[in-house]
Amino acid sequence: MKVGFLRQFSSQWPLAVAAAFCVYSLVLLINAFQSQAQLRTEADMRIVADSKRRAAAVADLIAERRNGTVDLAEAHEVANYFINKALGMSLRYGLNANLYAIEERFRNQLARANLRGERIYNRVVLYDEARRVLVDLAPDKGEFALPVDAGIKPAVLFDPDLRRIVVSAPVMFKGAFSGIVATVGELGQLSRDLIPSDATGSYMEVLVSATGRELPAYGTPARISENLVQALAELPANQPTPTGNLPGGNSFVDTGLAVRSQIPGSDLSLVTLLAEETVYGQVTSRLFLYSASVIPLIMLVAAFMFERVRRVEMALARSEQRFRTIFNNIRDAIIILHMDDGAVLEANPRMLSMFGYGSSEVAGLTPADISENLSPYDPPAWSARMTAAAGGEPQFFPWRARRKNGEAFWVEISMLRASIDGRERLLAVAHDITQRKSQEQELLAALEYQRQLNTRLEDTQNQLLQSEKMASIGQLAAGVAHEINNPVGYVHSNMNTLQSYVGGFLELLEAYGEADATIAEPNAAMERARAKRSKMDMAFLKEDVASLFAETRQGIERVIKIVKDLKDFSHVDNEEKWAREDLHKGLESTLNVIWNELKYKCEIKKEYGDLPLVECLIFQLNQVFMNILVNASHAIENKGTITIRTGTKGDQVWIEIADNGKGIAAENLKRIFDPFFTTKPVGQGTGLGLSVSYSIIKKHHGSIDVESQEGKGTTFRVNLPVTQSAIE
Amino acid sequence: MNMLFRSFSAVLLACLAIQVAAADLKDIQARGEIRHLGIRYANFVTGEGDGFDVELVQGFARHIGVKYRLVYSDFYSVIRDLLGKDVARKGGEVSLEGNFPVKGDIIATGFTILPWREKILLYSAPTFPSQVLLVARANSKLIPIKGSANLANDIAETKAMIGKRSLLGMERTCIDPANYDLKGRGLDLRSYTKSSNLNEIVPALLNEEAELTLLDVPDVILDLQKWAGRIKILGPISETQNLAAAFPQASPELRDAFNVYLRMIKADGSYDKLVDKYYPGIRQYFPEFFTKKR
Repeated sequence: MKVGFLRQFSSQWPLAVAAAFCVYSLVLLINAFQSQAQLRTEADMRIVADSKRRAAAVADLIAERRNGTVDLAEAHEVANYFINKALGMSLRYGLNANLYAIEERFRNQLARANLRGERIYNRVVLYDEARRVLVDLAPDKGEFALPVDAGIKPAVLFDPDLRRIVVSAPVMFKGAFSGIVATVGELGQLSRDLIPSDATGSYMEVLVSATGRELPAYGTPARISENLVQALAELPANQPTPTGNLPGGNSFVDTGLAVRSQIPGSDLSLVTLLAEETVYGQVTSRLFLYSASVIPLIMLVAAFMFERVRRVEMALARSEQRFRTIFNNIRDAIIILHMDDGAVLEANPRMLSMFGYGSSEVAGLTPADISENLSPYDPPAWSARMTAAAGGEPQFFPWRARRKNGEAFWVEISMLRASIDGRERLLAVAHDITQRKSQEQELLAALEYQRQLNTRLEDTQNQLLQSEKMASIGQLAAGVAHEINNPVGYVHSNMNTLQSYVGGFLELLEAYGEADATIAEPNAAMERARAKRSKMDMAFLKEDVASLFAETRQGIERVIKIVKDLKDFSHVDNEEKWAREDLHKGLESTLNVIWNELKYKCEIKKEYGDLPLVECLIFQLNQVFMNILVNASHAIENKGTITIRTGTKGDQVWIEIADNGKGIAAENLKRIFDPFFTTKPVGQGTGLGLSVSYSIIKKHHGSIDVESQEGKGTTFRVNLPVTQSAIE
Repeated sequence: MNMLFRSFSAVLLACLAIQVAAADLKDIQARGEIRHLGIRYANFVTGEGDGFDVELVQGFARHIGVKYRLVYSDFYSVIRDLLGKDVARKGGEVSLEGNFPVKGDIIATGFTILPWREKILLYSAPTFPSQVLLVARANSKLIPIKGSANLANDIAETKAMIGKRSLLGMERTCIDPANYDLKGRGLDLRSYTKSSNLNEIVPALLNEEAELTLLDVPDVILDLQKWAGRIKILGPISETQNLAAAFPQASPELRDAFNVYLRMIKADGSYDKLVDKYYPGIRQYFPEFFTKKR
C-alpha cells in the first residue's frame, strides 16, 4: 500500500510540486493583496489629506486676503477719518488729510503686500456707509461688484470671468456700520503657491471654479482643456478618481488620479492631478497583482498539462517504438514523400532492400528514380496519383518500379496523405507483387490455354454435332434424293413427252379449227363444238399451255438440281477421283464461271501465296469457292472488294476469302452451315450452299472458319491438309 | 575800562557778525561750508538731523560744493541768528536792532513768507504751501464749518467762531495771531511761551491752556493722525501761504543759486520725493501748488 502510494506520488511529483507552489503563491498573493490594499488605502488617504491641506493653504491665502482687508478696514487711518468725520470736520479742512492718510496707508499696503513678487492687491477702495467711494487707488478701472455680505461681515467674491478676487470688510465706527474697505486682486494669485507641474511632469495642482474654469497663476496660460476642467470641477470631493475616463488632452489623463478638494469658505476647488506611480510609488499595481494571481493557477494548469504532455510523450515514445519496430521490420516498403515534388524524404529498411539503395542514398530520390518510366508507369502517371492522394483520395494501384540496378518489378502502391511530425506528407507503402504478378501471368496463360481447349472442345463438339447433324441430314437427303430422283426423273421425262403430245393436240385443234371455218352449214355437233371452242378461248389456251410447260419444266429442273445438290451433299455421287491439284487454278476457273455475276459490283484482289499441289476433289472445292464467292458478292450491296489470300501453315494450306460487305449478324453466324438456312429471299437461295461446302471441306479433312462483323464484312478461311493419305 | 572794553568787544563782534551775515555765495564757497538755521518744527526740521528743509539745504550744499552744517534755532531767534540783528515790529514797521552773532547763512524751516519778513529778508521761490487753521479740542462744542468754494467766507466764518474763546498762539511764528489780524480785537489771545517748539502747541491745547489754537496745514496733517479724535479742525484762518528759504538781503547770489537749485530738483523729481517723504497728503490740500501731480 505504502509502496504503491510512493510510486504514484513519484510518478506525479510535478503536479504535487506545482500544487504546493500554487498554495504558497496564493498565500503570498493574499498577503500582497492585503498589503497592497492597505498601502493603496493609505496612499489614497495621504493624497486626499495632501489635497485638503493644499486646499487649506489656498483657503489660508484667502483668509489672509480677508484678514488683510479687515486690517485695512480697521486701520487707524480709516478710524481717524471716521472719528474726524464724526467730529464734524469738513472734507476740505481736515478730512482730506485723513483720506490722504488712508490712501497712503492703502498704497503702502498695496506696495508691501505681494506674493512672489506679484502684488496681492491691485486695487483698494474705501466706501462710506452709502457706498460712495472715498478712496480708490485705481479709479480709472471702473466699478466692480462687492460680495453680497460686504456690509455685514468680511466676505470674498470670486469672479472667474474677470479673474479677480474681491475681498471686503465692513468699517465699523462706534459699533455702527460706517463703510466698506474692498480689496481687488488677481484671482490667479491663489494659484501662485500651487505646483503647476513637477520636474517629472507627474504632479500638478489646478485651481478650478465651480463653473468649471481653470484659474492659473497670473501670466500663466491655462494648462488643461476646458472640457477636462469642467469634468474635474464635477468630480466628487476628497475622493481619488482615475482620470482614464475623463475627457481632455492632458498627460495625466490616461494613467493618473485626480483629487478634488473644496477650498474651505469658497466655491473654488483645488484639483490635484497625479500620475499613478507618484501616488502609489513602488506599490505593486493592482493589475499586476491580479495578473500575478493567475500565475499559480497557470503554473498548476501548466504542471497538469506538463504531466499530461509527459504521459502523452511517454505513450508516444512507446508508440513510436512500436511503430518504429513495425516500420523497420515490415515486409513492405514504406516511403515518406514530399508533397510537392514527390521526392523521397525517408524510407524504411525494407524499401532499401527492395529497391537496392543504401540508407544514405534514399533521401532525395525522385519518382523517376524508382519507376520503370515506361507508360503508363511513368512520372506523369505518378504525379496524377500524388495529386489525387494529396487531395485526400487514398490511392491504391499497381506500379512498375525500378531497382537501383535498373531491374523493373511489380509493386502495389498504397498512397495517402498524412501529417507526419506536424508536416503534410505523402505516405506510400509499396508491396512487392512480382511473384503474384508472375503467378497471375501463369494463371492467365493457363486460363488462355484452358479457354483455347474449351474453344477447341466446343469446336470439336460443334463439329461433331455438325457432323452428326450432317450425317443425319446426309442420310435423310440421300434417302429423299433417292426417293425423289426417280419420280422427278420420269416426271421430267414425261413432261417432255406430254409437251410433245399437247403440242400435237393443239396442232390438231388448230387444224380442226381451220377445217371448221370451211364448213358453211355446221351440224348440231359442230355447233356444240363451236360453242365450247368459243368458251375455251383457244388462243389463250395455246399461249398459256406453252407458258405452263415452260414453268413446269423450270420447276422440275430446279427440283432436279436440288436433288443433285442433296446427292452431292450426301456424297451420293462419288465418281470424282482424288488428285493433286493446283488450288490457284481451281480458284481462277471458279472466278471465270461466276465472273458474269461478280464483275458489276466486285473488285477482286488476289494475294496468293506459294501453294503446293493439294490432294483434293478439285471440282467439289471449286463448288466451295463458288459458294463462298457468290455469297460474298451477294453481301456486297453496291460496290465492294473481295480479297482472296492463300498461304501455307505447317502441312496445311489455307485459302481466305474476305469481303467488305454488310457482314453476318451474330445470331446468324452459328447457323450459316446449317442445311436450308438462308437469309436470302424465298426462291433465291436453297440454304444448302454452305452446308454442302462444309461437307466438302470435312470430306477433305479440313476446316472452314468464318469471322464476320456487321457492316464491315466477312472472312471465310478454308484450311486443307496438303495430303489426305497421312490422315486416312 | 571794563565798560570800554566790553563796548569795543561788542562792536567788534557785531562787525564780525555783520561781515559774516553778509556772506554771499562766493564767501560761502570760499569758506567751504554753509550753515543752515533750522527750527524743530513739524517735519521740516525734525530735530533728529533730518526733515524736509534739512534735506533740501543739504542738497543745496552739495549743489554749490560746500559742506553742510545744521544750526538749531527757534522762531524768536532765527532772524537774529541769520542777520545778527534783532527784529522789532511796531505796527507795520519793522526794524533791526542790536548786534548779535550771525549763526547761519540760510533759514529753511517751514518758514512762512510774511510781508513783514520780506522787508528784512530775501526769500527764495516758495518751497512749500501752507495755510493756518483754527483748531479746537474734540470735545469742543464748536462745530467745524462745512467749507465752501469761497475761502474768504470760510475764513470769516471760522474767525467768527472764536468769539470770546481763548486762542493759543506763538509769537513770531506762523501761528502768531498777529499775522492774521486777530490781535487787538479783544480776543482772548494766549501766547505759548513755555517753548518755542510748535510741536508742543497741540499738547498745550489738550492741556486746556486755551480753548482754541492755530496750526498750519503741514502740522495739521501730522496732528490729525497723531491726535485723532482729540482735536478737530474748525476752519481756515488764513489764505494759502507759501513757505520759502530766507537769506540776508546781502546774499542775492546765494538766494539766486538756491532758486536755481530748487528749479533743478523740481525738474528732476527730487523735490517731489522730499514732499512725499515728509508730508504725504499735502497735495490733497494744495493741489494747485504741486503742479506736477502723481
